[in-house]
Order: sequence, then structure tokens, then C-alpha cells
Amino acid sequence: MTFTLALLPIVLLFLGMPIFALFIFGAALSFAFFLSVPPVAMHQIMFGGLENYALLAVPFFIFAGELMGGSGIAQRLIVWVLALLGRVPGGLGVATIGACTLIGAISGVSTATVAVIGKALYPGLVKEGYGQRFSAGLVSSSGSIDIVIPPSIAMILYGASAEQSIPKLFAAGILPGILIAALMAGYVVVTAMRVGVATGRGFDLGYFLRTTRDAAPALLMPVFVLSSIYLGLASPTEAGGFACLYAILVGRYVYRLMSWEEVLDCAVRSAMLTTQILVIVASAALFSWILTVNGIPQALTAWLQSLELHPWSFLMAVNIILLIVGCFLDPTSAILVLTPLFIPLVKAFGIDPIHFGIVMTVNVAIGMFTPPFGLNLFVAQTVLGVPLETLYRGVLPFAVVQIFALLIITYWPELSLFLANAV
Amino acid sequence: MRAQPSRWRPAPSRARSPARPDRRRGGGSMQDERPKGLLNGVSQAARTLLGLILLAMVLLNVVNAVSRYALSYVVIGIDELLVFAMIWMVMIGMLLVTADRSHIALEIVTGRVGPRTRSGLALLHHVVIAISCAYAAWQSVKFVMRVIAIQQTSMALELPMAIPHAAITVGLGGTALISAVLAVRDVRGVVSPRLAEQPA
Amino acid sequence: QVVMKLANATINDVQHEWQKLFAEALKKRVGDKVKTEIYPASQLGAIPRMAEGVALGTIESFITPTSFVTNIDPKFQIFDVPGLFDSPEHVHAVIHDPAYRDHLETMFLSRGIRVIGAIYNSPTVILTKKPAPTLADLKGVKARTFASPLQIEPMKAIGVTPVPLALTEVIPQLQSGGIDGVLAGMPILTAFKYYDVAKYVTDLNFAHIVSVNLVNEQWFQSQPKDIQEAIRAAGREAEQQAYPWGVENVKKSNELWKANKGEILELPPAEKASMMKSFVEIGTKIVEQNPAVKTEFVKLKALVDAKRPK
Ligand code: NA
Ligand code: NA
Repeated sequence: MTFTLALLPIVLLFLGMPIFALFIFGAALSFAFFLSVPPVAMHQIMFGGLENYALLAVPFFIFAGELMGGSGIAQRLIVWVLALLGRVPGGLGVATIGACTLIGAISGVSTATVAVIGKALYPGLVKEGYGQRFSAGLVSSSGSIDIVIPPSIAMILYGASAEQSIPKLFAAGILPGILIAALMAGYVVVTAMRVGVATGRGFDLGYFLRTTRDAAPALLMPVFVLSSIYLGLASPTEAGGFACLYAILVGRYVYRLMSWEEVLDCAVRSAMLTTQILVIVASAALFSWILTVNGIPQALTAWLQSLELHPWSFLMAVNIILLIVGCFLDPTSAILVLTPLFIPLVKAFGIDPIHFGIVMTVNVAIGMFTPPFGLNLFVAQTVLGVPLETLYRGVLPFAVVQIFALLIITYWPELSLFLANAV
Repeated sequence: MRAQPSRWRPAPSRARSPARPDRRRGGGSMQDERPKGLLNGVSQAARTLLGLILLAMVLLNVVNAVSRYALSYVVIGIDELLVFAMIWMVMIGMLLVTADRSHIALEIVTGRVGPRTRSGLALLHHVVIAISCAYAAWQSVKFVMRVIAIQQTSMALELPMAIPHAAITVGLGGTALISAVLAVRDVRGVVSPRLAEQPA
Repeated sequence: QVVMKLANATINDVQHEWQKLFAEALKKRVGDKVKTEIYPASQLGAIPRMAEGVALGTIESFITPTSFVTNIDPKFQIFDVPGLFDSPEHVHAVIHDPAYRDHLETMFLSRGIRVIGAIYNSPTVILTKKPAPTLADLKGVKARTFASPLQIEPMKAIGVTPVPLALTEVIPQLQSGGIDGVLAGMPILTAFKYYDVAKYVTDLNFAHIVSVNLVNEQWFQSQPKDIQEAIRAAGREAEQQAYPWGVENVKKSNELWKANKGEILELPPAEKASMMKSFVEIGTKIVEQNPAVKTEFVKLKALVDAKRPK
């Protein structure tokens, strides 16, 4: 069982076997030879992995990202951001983080954010001299800010599983999300000064206003999407659909850069990108299901309990476990499998479950881009056309920065609880 | 560190026209002169279908939201339909992504080896995929037959659940078939590397 | 040793309690011959997947409100007819009537499932952002319901716009104003701390949720006779023990709701009586569309009327 579920897939992973196939292969072997469960369950679990309303945000926000490129929206946003941040060292890098934080306030899916930001800002970052590795690492890692900034599907799953208030979790995520963004921006500024990224022209009000006028329909897109959510007009998934329609109309009729044929082309590409990601989601569901019914997470919890830890070392142990799990498992499975097991311990230690929810959320957010398994990485690979190997190296410094933020968030509960208790 | 282009790099990021994913630099695709009009036609039609499904999902989603918020009129079952459409889109897409050899994978080894070894690894992958997906597809057939037998319907639309479930069967079964075809090509690639690496 | 996976979408509620009591009761009877494994909180998948799982044999056992399995067998609808039961005691008297309980056990065998547990879950109430002490206040409210005609049609009849939504969408939409109410059981409302987004609950006495624990019949038949009997007996023992726990749990939920500055409102008695009468009529019309469902409903209704508290 250890062989089919761990060793064999890891060997095949390094031999370049497609990720989805690792899961299906490991599961097929387990069902055929080890499990007493009827193997028809394979179908059911894969279907269940996909049949999830929340996942609809993935195709929509990928499509919106693709459309931002083709319609001319992205280019105008870059020009505008540069006109605004021209003289700041690392202006575009900081803008990337800012944009991720802003989009994070619209979407709960970080893969979609990586797709949008990657399409829009990655070529500019490379052109400005950040280098492929740094730029790709920046895009993949800042996408995960989205998971910490509400709305967040990770928090909804945690809240449902731990019976905690989802609005409180949302509120609790705001300051930690901003902290991560600020630390990342600091790191980017330092790096930009060190490698000597060219700073743009100085701030010129006339130029800025001209750019703003040209970019107005593009700038209205996040405003439009944000306000549709916060004025109660749409859910994030619906806002994703609106964003697509808006970008099509702007690209077709305002900037006049897209023919209907190109819109269809764009839709085809987005559907293919969606497939590459969701096929893994469906197959990974098999894997986490098998882990669950084999009691592996329970064994983990029992082991933790046997160590008789203090709250602070318990939290440290949880962070280490989650960071390791995050290397191999998707956040949905990690949260759904581990939350019910951690919660009794959390309560026994007197740790606030809302605070713990944020700690878990930040961990799975980091897991989204830590090698070898990270959906942000796969999206970045797909969208940016950068080899995973380059991405693996690129994200490392950002992982260090975010783990530093995680430690602050873990041991400073008030940062999370201040706004949560104000709700 | 070499940023070597690899077969496993997803096609859409490289190909402007998704219908014809371009081959590796120096790849042997120009040697493939056999008429493949029918296959290309099917593949092109499937790609167009995917795009149309996604566009329809966007429209349906907007209609749903507008009617709910602006008109206070709730169309029951649109959420369900959207999810089922997404499942079909992903499963049809799975066939195309398999045929394009563009599934997401770790490229550490495959990006560094010669064409013959690469074909050998691809052969291993495709044999494993063909067998495990065939096994999963067979389970899926059994599952769908039972769903048909108990006449299960969806909650909101009361659609026979066999319709969305069958997508998984098609995705897994088709992936098994396509992988088997690719495995045969990989054998040729091992024997004669210059003939390798043709799209399905 | 046989493994019996007990699946559940919820946690720490009466359904979970039944599973724990059942596991104990079974252990008492058969020792380690059956190894029970409880999977609460949808660990084995979303509700429709678990429902299919128990019907098709990938999960041995699943506990659920009847309204989530009507697509497996529409006969489950009969328990969801609104206005049917007066009180928890009424539900208890009906579903645990010995002859009816035997009938209930085998009512769904044609779909490959057997009922080994039947429990009172909780009353369905309506949560609203603005107080709704009368039916007039409920007019125009957009409320989340299940995609079931037995919730949708009665809601329409009192002027509420039913909005079937995914569970993950409920809180965000409630906050953003996409919906302004939710039809749900009180323990669910407190478990998810809905009092943070909306304070007012109106007790419509809409429907009393009945939960059933299903087992896959093929799996059940593959067990030796003594184990089969032990499972049946353990199920019934657990449901008797779970009943007072469940009633107490609803009380606790109500108190927790008030402790968090929530309010529980009652409709004026006359309004409530006429509303319940129309609910039963609407519900009866829906369940009688299907002849098989109608037969079962007539049988249930006769017992419901016989057991109605005076
Ligand atoms: Na977010
Ligand atoms: Na990871």
C-alpha cells in the first residue's frame, strides 16, 4: 500500500508521468489489489471531485485572464500601473503584488489569479529585467495572497468543516493577507534595487491622465467586478462570468482588438487550460479519499497527541505538517481531511478556532506554490510557458518570505482576531 | 539550468491556434505526411465545442445572476446545469489534452534526456495511462449502468444523472484509447527517434 | 473482520450522535466482528455522492435528512410534506410505531437500500435579515431552499422567492444581499453561526426534518444472519437513545441562538394554522403526482392523523 500510494507515484512523478495519471494509477492499483471498497467508487469519487459549484470560478477567471490579454485590457493596465508607480524601485513587481491583492478581493481561487496576473504582467516583468525565474516565482507566489484575502474558498471549506463562522473567518483574513502582501512587496523592492531593474519615467501628471483615460474601460473591470460582489449583485463565481462578458465587450467594441473568431479561440484555450487543472483536481480526489479511508490523517493526529505538546509547539508542529502536506496535496483535500482531526486538539489547547482557521488557510496558500505539487505552479507553467523546474527555484525565496509571515500570523493571534471580533 | 522546451509543456501556452499545437523545435512533425483529415476534423470540432460550452456557461451564468438580482426571478437548476457542463467540458478537454501530450507533469527528467530516452519514457507513461484509465473507465461503465438502473435523477432539473456521469466514462475511456495509440507511436520513436513525437 | 463505513455530512449533531450510539450498540452485540468507522463532515464526499455511494455499495452506510435522497427514491418525499407533524413527540410516535418502523426498514429495498435508523432531526425554520413576525413580512423575501418542490412550492405560496443555492454560496450571498433568508434546521443555523449575518428566525413549524440511516442492501445481505440481526437491533437501540438527545440539542441550539443576540419569532396562531393547512395541501398535491409515492403517503398520513397529539 505504501508502495502503490507513495513510492511508486513519486518515482513516476520524477520520470515525468503526468500528475493526473499518478493519482489514477495509484488509485487503480489500490482499488484492484488492496481496498475492500468496490472499485466503482473510483468513478464516483472523481465525479464528486469535479461536481462542485465553487470550481466554476476556475474556468471563468481563467477565461477572464485570457481575455484580458487578447482584448488589450492587460496592456493598458500595465501602462497605467507604470505611469502611477514609475519611480518606485520595483514598481511593476510591487504592482504585481498589489494586483494580486486586489483580485484576491474578487476571487477565492488563487489559480485563477495566477492565470490573470501571469497573462497580464509576466511578460512585462521579464522585459523589465527581473528575469524569468524571479518573475515566474513572484507571479506563482503572490497568487496565493488571494486565498488569504476574502472571499476565500479555503475559508469556506474550513468554516463548514470546523463549524466556525465564515464571515468571521473572512474578516480575520484581511490583515494577515495585507501583511503577506507588504512583506512580499518589501522583498521585491529590495531585490529590484539590488539587481538594478530599470525605473520608468518619473511621475508626469499629464501622461498619467492620458493613460488613465485610455485605460478607463480596463480600470473599470476590477471596479465593476468588485462592486458587483459588494453591492450584492453577484457571487464571486457570477462575478467571474460578468468579468468574461465585460472583457469580451470591451475587447470587441471598445478597443476593437478581437474578432468573434478570436473570442472563440480564446474560449477554446481557456477550456483547455481549465481541463489541465481540473483533471488533476478530479484525480487528486481519489488519492485523498484513499488516505481518509485508510485512517492516515487519524494516525497523524494520534501521533501529535502522543507528543504532549504546548500550544505554541503544537502550532509549530501543525505548521510543519501542513507545509509538508501542502507540498503534495491540494488545499481542498488538505482542509477537508485535516480540519476535523485538528479541531479537537485546537480546542483542548485553548487556541481560537478562527485564528487557527487563518493559520491553516495561510499554510494551504503557501502549499499552492511549494514544489512539487502546487496548483499555482501548474497554472503558472501552463500560462507562462515556464518549465516547472524554473518555477521550483523561482518560488523558493517567496516561500521563505511567506513562511516568515506565517510565523507572525501564527504567534500573533490578535492580527487575525482584531477584525474578526469587530464583526 | 536549462529552460529546455519539452513535450510536456502544455500546448495552449505555445500555440496561438489551439487547433494545431506547434511541435517542438526541430521535431519530426513535418515527416508526417499521412492523410489525417478525419482525425483533424474531429479534433477541430471537439475544440470548437469546448469553446462554445465555455461561452454558453458564461452567458448562462450572467443570465442566472441578472435574473436573480435584477428581476428577482429565479431560474431553478441553472447552477446544476453549469456544473454538469463544466464536467463535460473537462472530460472532452481531457481527450484533447492527452492527444496534445500536454498534461501537466514534472519536467525535471524528461526535459534533459535525448529523443530516444524521451520516447521511451513517453511509452512508459502512455502504457500506464492506457491501462489505469481503461481500468477506471470500466469501473465507470459499471457505475453508470447502475445509475441508469436505479433511474437516479438530479436534484433540481430532474435530469437523468447518467448524463453528467457518462462524461467521466467518455473522458477515461477516450484517454485510455488515445494513450494506447500514442504508445504505439512512442514505440516507433524508440526504434527510430526521428519519426517520433507526432500528435494524435 | 468486516468494515462498516458510516458516512455523514454533518458533525456533532443528532445524526453524528446516532452513529456513535450505533457503533457502541453494535460493538456490545458482535464485539470486533464488525469494525465501524465514522466519517462525519462529508469526509467521504458531498451529500449526493454519499447517497449514490450507499445505493451502489461504495459506502456501507449513510445518514441523511430524507430530503437529500429523494432522487434515489421519490418515496422519501413523504416525510418532507410541510405541515405534516405537529411536534418532535409527534414525529417520534409515528416513525417509531413498531409496525410502521418495520415497514420503513424495507420501504426502499427496490433501490438497494435498507433503513436501519430513523431519527427526529429538527424543525425547519426560516432565517431572515429583517424581523418577519407575520406572513406579510415574509412577502418578497429571497430565501435559500433546497431544489425540492416540497420546499419551493410552499415558499412561493406565502410569497417567498425560493433560491436554491450551493451551501458555500449561502453566507456570502446573505451578506451581499443576494438572498435575505434561509430555510434550515436550527442546529444547522447555530453550527454555522448564521447569527453573525442575520438575527431573526421565524418558527414556521414548516416541516420537522426526519433523518434516516441507510445501508446498502447487497452488503447487508452478504453478512451472516447474526450480524444482520445485530445491525438491525443496534440501529433501533441507537434511535431510541438519540431521540431525547436530539430534542435536547434543538433546545440547546435555540438557547445558543438567543445567547448570540438572535431572536426566535412566532407567527400569530391563526396565521400559522391556515398556513400549515395550505402547506399540507400543496405538499399532498406534489407527492400524489407519483402513484408509488401516493400509496406510501396515504399510509403515512393515516398514521400521522392517528398519532396526532390531542
Ligand atoms: Na480571495
Ligand atoms: Na505545494
